[in-house]
Amino acid sequence: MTNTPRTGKSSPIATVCATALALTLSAPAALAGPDDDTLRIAWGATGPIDNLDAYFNTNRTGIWFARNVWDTLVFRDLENSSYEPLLATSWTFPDDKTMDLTLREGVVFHNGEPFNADDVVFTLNFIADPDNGVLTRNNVDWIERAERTGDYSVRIHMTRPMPQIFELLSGPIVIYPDDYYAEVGPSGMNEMPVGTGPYRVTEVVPAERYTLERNADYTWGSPKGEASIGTLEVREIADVQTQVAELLGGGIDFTADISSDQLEQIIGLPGFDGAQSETMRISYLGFDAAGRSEFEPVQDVRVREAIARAVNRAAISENLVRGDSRVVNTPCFPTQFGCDQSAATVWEYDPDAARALLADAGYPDGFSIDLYSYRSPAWSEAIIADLAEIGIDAKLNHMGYFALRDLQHEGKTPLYLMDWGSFSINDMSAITSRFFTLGPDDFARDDELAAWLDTGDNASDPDKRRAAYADAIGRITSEIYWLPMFSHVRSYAYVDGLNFKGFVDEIPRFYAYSWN
Amino acid sequence: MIDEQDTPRAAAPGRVVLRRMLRHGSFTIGATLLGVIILIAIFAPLIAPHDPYATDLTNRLLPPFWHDDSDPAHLLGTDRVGRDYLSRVMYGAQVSLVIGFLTVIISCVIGSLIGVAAGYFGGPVDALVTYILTTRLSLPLFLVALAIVALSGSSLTTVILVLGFFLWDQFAVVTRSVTQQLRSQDYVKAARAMGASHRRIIFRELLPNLREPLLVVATVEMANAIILEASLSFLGFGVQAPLPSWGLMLSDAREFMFFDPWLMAIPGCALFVLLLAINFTGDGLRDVTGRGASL
Repeated sequence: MTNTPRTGKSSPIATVCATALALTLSAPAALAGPDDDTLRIAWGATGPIDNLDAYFNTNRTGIWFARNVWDTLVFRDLENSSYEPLLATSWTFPDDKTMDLTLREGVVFHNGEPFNADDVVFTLNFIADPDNGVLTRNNVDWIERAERTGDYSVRIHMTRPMPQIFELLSGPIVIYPDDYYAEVGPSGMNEMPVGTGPYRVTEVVPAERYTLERNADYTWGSPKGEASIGTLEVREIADVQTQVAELLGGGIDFTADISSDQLEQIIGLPGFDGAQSETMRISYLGFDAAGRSEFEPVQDVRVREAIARAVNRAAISENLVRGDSRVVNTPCFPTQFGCDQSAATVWEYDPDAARALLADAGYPDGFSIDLYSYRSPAWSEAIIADLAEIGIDAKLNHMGYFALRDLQHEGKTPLYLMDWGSFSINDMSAITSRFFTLGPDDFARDDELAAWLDTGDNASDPDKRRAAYADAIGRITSEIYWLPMFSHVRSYAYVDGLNFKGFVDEIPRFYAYSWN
Repeated sequence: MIDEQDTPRAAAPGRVVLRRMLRHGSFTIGATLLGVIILIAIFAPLIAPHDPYATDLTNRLLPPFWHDDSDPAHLLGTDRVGRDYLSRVMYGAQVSLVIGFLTVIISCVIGSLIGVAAGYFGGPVDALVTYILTTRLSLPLFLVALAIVALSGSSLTTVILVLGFFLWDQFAVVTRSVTQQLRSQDYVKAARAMGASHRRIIFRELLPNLREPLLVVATVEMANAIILEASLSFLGFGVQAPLPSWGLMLSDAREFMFFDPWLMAIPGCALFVLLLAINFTGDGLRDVTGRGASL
């Protein structure tokens, strides 16, 4: 028995149980999906959205919410890898620290406020002001100020040249209505979000549920397209098993938090369908090469190489993560700008070589080490079993993400399995530069590497950026500060009849879904 | 020194208790099951068909023997990283029993010393012990254990120590009340009249008479410790993977609850059988030793 798709392989008893559950629970459930034109969504496995105001939220589902409720100045067309006009219709760069934008006319916010240059100027100046405390400063600290140059034109002054400007203007930087936001502020925006997007919010019960309705005024030719499904009802359900029970029982129509194993089982049941897509999130095994935790063995590059050769990344990706997951050899996702695959040193699985390296490094009998992780313990357990093969006794310290992040910042983690989704920003600066520029997450403490990344982040010449990033990739993978592991997948399960499409940036575009 | 009031003929009290035990249905069943589980735990390295830590990612989630497509090499199937489930259940018995026994030893020592001191000396000592006991009983055990383990990091040793230092209350309550009764017995008075030291009276006259009630409390508390460990592990605060704890196996199986329910059912059954065996044994002990009244 190998890793064949397990659809329908579940035992007759299990299938009967699951189907019976589906039938029993669905009886009293309200009208299902297409009948009342409502898509009931469950999310929240990583916790509820802490603040619906997109600038005061770090939760991924907050990004999902934002994409459907607000619009950005620029639209990123994932399929054609291009940037298209959205709220801005055209733009020019008078110099490398100034951007002029012409804005679209005829757009209105959900509360009836017309969209114009004042909204853009207010939003950008608000988020640029450090006193307002936008959570992800990297997304906004390049904005010096915005200036109104006409009713429908603005100029953005930057503190420095910003090569990733289109990623930011098409992603995290959404435009708020100036009058409403000036009046209610972030807390009011959390209670009742108002944007220009394809869905308008009609009800918010914080951290519990949100109701969104199709924006009937979204007819001005947005590249996002008009929404098709009338109502979205979102429920925050932290427990994935409860989400599955609700899906099978007819309480919800859509979940995106399930595992590959669950997906295969659910799509084997009548009335359900599912999809899976690779995401920009990559896992990596990080080493305390700089000795912050004072754990000696991993300071030796031979030991790091031994571990890199001992871990069977392909087996974990293929059998545990599954789906479209693949082994990644770079400290960035392959589609990200600058993520040159040829610059990486690739470490093939070779336990014999690993044993020899360990012996050479003075650890013929291996050693004990603490492995820290917060994701699926199955992945860590597979790594621990691989390390045991070469004599390394890895002890698992499994904990919540924030607890682990704090330990990392204190420099106490000699070996850690972590992952990063880059906020779905398709640029190496969103991942590699975050971890290797001498900040609290940096366990390499390599000044030359940090300087390359700085050049990569800030140079205005794309070729210069690429060259600097390639040097960084070469250093990280040859010194094995990280062993890049594999890409993640996101599995979506939903009721039959939903036209669904997944994207590499892990953001469901509910406005693009429809009923068959 | 056995309390002779329990037995009509003083000649062979042990034999009488043994005869009662054998006639006691649930005790026989419980003790036999417990014995079998202890043997499995001790001899797990010899009888387990596979290494419980050996993963095989290409053979994960194999179904158990009652499914058509099961693999004879894995009678109870394999878990999500391809480890043999039967072997893990066998080694899991070790974890549960080690935690059960060690916790009970620690808490029994603490509880009986405190209880005997309170019952024997009375007065201010008793008042102090009652105060400590009330404080302990007012703490929500599971929440406190959870908090301590979360702060200090979870491991087998931490779990044993935390549970051991928290489960002594029943031992203290029982030994205190039994000691109060024994204190006025003639043989204790006689020992005191003969000038025996407190230490001698406690260790030679009182403790031997506490053996049976302590044994009964120990079985209850052992079951308690095992279920607490399983609960902590289930929540991710008990022993750490890849150690095969039944609570951890239950937790790992949650993802597969709807479609591969045997992954939950097997460790769940193992836990159920062990707790049933311990409780049957404890009930039987209480009945045959006639110590139920004090509990």
